[in-house]
Amino acid sequence: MFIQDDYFYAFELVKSCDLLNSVELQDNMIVSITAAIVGAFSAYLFNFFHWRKETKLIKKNELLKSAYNHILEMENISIDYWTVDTASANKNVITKQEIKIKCLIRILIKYPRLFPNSFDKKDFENMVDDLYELCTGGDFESSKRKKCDKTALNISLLCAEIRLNLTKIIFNT
Amino acid sequence: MAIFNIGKEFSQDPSGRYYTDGPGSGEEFREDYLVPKINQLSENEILEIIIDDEVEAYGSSFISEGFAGAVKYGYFTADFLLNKIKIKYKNPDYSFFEKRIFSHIKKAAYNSAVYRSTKKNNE
Repeated sequence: MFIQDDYFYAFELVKSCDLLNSVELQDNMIVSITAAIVGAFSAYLFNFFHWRKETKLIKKNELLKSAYNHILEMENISIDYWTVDTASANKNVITKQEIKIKCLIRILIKYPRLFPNSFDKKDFENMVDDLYELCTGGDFESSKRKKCDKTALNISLLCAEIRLNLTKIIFNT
Repeated sequence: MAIFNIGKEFSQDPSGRYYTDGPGSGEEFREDYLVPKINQLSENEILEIIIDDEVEAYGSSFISEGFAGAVKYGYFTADFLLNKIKIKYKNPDYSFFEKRIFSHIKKAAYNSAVYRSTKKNNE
């Protein structure tokens, strides 16, 4: 019984080896292995480019959100600054607001260089130019500065427009 | 070529419009530094103004009074002033202030106002 089983096993083994040696099977195996390698490589490439694009998009959105927040900060400080006379306000508060406004201008002028090329940098630059003139023009840093609601309103309108543009870009990407 | 370093020779915190706003005002810059220095230049000489050395930022009020004021009060025409000064900086952020300076000078109307020093009014 045992001898018969061994014989059968050996026979099957030899048959398998014959099959393995057959040219057709070898071709099939090469095709299968190649297909598997190509498939795995394609999946790797897809993942690589997909995540690279995804990471780029996330970074771009973070940058736009950061610009959005800085514009919002500029709006709030500038409105506080332009709705009070310098003479009637606390000198330390006014000095801090002036420093913060100048600091925010330095930050905002950096953005166009950081934005991707697809972004309309010129539009943003022009708006920041206008914002700079509104926020730091007139009697800015002057001891005789009077409050000016119109300037505050114009700053608020311009900031809202810039934020709207940034939001549009965030949602379109 | 004459060189004028704002941060080292004038103020590290140029701010405000008039003498009455304290040291480093636009009026002081124009009256005591910019105009005299340009008047001292020879015919083909240019004044190189370094704007980013020890100075963090400029307000529009300072730029307007300090640079455009020289045209507005009739010291120089805009073209003459633009040809006589060269703005220098190493930090690329300061190209923004350079553009604002040139923009203010170009927009200023020559001799359109009579200058009255706020320093004299104070005394």
